[in-house]
Amino acid sequence: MPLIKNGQIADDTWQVLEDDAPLPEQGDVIVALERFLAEIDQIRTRSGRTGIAIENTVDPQEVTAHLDDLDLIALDFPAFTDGRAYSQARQLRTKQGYTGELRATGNVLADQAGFLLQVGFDAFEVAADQSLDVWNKAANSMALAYQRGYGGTQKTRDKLQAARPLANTSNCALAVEQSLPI
Amino acid sequence: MAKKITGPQVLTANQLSDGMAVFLSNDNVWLTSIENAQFARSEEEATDLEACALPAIRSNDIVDPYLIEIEETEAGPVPVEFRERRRIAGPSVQVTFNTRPNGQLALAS
Amino acid sequence: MYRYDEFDTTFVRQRVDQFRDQVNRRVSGELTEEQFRPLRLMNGLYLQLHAYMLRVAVPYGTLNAAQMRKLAFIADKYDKGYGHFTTRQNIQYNWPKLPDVPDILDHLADVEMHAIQTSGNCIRNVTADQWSGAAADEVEDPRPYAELMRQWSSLHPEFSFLPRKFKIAVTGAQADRAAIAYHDIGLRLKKNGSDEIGFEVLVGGGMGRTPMIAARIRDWLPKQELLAYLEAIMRVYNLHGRRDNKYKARIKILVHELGAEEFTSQVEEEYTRIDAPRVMPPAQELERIAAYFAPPAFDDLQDDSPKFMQHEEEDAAFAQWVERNVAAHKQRGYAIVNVSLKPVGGVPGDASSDQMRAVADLAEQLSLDEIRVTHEQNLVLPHVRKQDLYRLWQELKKHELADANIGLATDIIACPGLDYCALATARSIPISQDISNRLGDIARQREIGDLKIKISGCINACGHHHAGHIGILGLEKRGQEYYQITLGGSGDERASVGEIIGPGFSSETVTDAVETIVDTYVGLRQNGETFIEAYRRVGPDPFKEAVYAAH
Repeated sequence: MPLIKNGQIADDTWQVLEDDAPLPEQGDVIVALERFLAEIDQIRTRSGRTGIAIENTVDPQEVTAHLDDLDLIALDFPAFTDGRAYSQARQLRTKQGYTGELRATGNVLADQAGFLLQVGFDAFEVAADQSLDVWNKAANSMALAYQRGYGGTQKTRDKLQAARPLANTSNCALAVEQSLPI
Repeated sequence: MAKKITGPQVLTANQLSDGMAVFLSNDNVWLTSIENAQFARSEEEATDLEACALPAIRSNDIVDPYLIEIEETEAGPVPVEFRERRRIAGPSVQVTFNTRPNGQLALAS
Repeated sequence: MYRYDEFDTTFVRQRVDQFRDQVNRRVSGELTEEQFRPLRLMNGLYLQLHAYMLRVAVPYGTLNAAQMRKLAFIADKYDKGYGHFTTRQNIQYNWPKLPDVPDILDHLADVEMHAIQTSGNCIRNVTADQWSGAAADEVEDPRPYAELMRQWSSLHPEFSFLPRKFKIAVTGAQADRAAIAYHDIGLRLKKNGSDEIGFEVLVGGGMGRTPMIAARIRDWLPKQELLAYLEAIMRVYNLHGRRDNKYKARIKILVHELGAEEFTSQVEEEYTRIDAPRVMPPAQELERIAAYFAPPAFDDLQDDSPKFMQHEEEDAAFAQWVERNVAAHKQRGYAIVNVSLKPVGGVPGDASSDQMRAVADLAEQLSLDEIRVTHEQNLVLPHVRKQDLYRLWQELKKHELADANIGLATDIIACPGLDYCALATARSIPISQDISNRLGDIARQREIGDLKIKISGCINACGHHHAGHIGILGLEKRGQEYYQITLGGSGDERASVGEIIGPGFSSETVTDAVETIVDTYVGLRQNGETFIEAYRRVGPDPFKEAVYAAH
């Protein structure tokens, strides 16, 4: 599966570890949540980085205590219409303050890219035939967003207005509307 | 859910461009009329007929193909399912509004 | 009315471009139908029985004349010269072609309209009391909050792939004209003990195969906390709503399975974790939006217009229309006019492009450029001077828009049913027409009085049959349509779910059954009781006896 990060195809240094495979001392591995919790002491002694894959039915609060031990969290989209991982990502990024890599796996389509970035994903495992151009175009097709407090490159109205001082406004209609006698 | 099929079947789909119901004809052409539709009279023939949708799907001409059971009547094939009969008949409501250039009913009822 | 600024304009245009690109990718085959379907549904484009159907949002049911004219233009240029106003205050076009849809959306953007999230498993068009800003009984105009929610819900990054569709309705009045108890979230502006205005929050109402009346989860929510609180509700639903069964995926099932108390505590817990100031717009943003909904420039008038009173006295037909179709306005000397889209024997909610243009002209001339769409599939001219009512009525008559039947037996709600809809199991429109013709005599309708008949062509209940005083559900068995009747439903502030009275009726006999029910009511009513009042007193038995004895 190609990996997209920062709008580029990225090298994937991470290896998904089967549950029965021995835990290597070195290298970046992604393990299942259960294994991570069960072998946490051993994991802490590794020199390589560790990430977890969690299903979209898991409450992210289950890993709150271990965020410092994690360099990657992979959230799954079993179907691209199953949007639970958006809320998991949002919870991890906001109230849990997770700052490591947040990877979208499973059914990840270009037309989701904008939303995924906004809720805090920064790495995307995409289908082999996904064109990078189409991905980037879709990811940037909306330059604006109404929702405050989300990430992504989209500007909210506050930011747009801050970037455009009132004297510079080209929107005469708005100015007239607002000055109507009430 | 697969129902027990007893009678002959024809292959229908919707046109990608305008959504109109279409039927695969004896000449392997998709037509808006069921009149000359190709029949499948056995399970084998049904599987073969269904496969005939692939080229039109690949060329992005049709979407959502499926088989429907029909009865052969003097007036031609008539779907067994009520929904399919309505789908062919078009709205029972006469569109009486001001008819503009593109205002003809797409499906004669 | 709200006007787009540069931000809104750019947003909607970019959304059109994004969709144009998606359509192009579909036509070229880059997107499969399976991939494209959820994308087109996010923009209101369905593939129906005979053609595509495009549902255009009429945010909280508010339009101006220019917008209505544009809807007429689209009907003529890209459709068959008509449109269908829906129970969600939207308009549907039944015959657009896929390659034309991006162009239609561009035309809509010209008048600050769109089709964003009029379908799909996302937050749908927010609906509101159609008399907002005009109703005499309103605590506060809910439209600024409806607009705030429109913006907040548009392309929401977290809540665009919910378990199922999500509908929010808001009212500012005690009398519920927006059916808030039948919505996923229902909001009512009300005062608390200290005379401050906030929101009563209902969650988990809905129709479909498991009709439910919403539970109240907050008696009073400060207005400035609205979006943060909604975010908490949405997150609990997005994470925990069922996705294993489409028919159990609405929030009403989650509320029901958890119990309202547990659901409420999960929402409240999530709410404590939300950084509300980060989510809510600053106060000046709320003020910016609210300024657009400031009362229009009303004339200073006497409450009574002698001219109007004289016409009312001299012209009985006009007086009847006033009695049924005209409602009290908060501004002295003004009235709210309900324009019926239910001509006897007609298709409920359909309007021709000529009728749309006529309403647009009249709105401009006589209603301060405002039009509303109602969830009962009628239109409203909200700000008419009483002295202009007679002239307005005469003009409406010319366009067959003056039926004096608001709230009467022929003011029927009907979904498109199996005449158009791919999901339908039976037709609704011909049944509606048949009942309308049967009960259509205006004297008889007036004698029957307030009666809400609502017809759905399948279990999804788009025709609100559960909330009908008389509800009719069309089903199909062995190649025949048949119709189940429910009685006692109501979508207002005393919301109730109708009860099935017994075996269904054929398309030939259902109108007889409805007539028998109506006649039974007329026979047993006391002291001017309405149908629903009488039903609540006597229950279903007298109706069952009459119907099943007669058929």
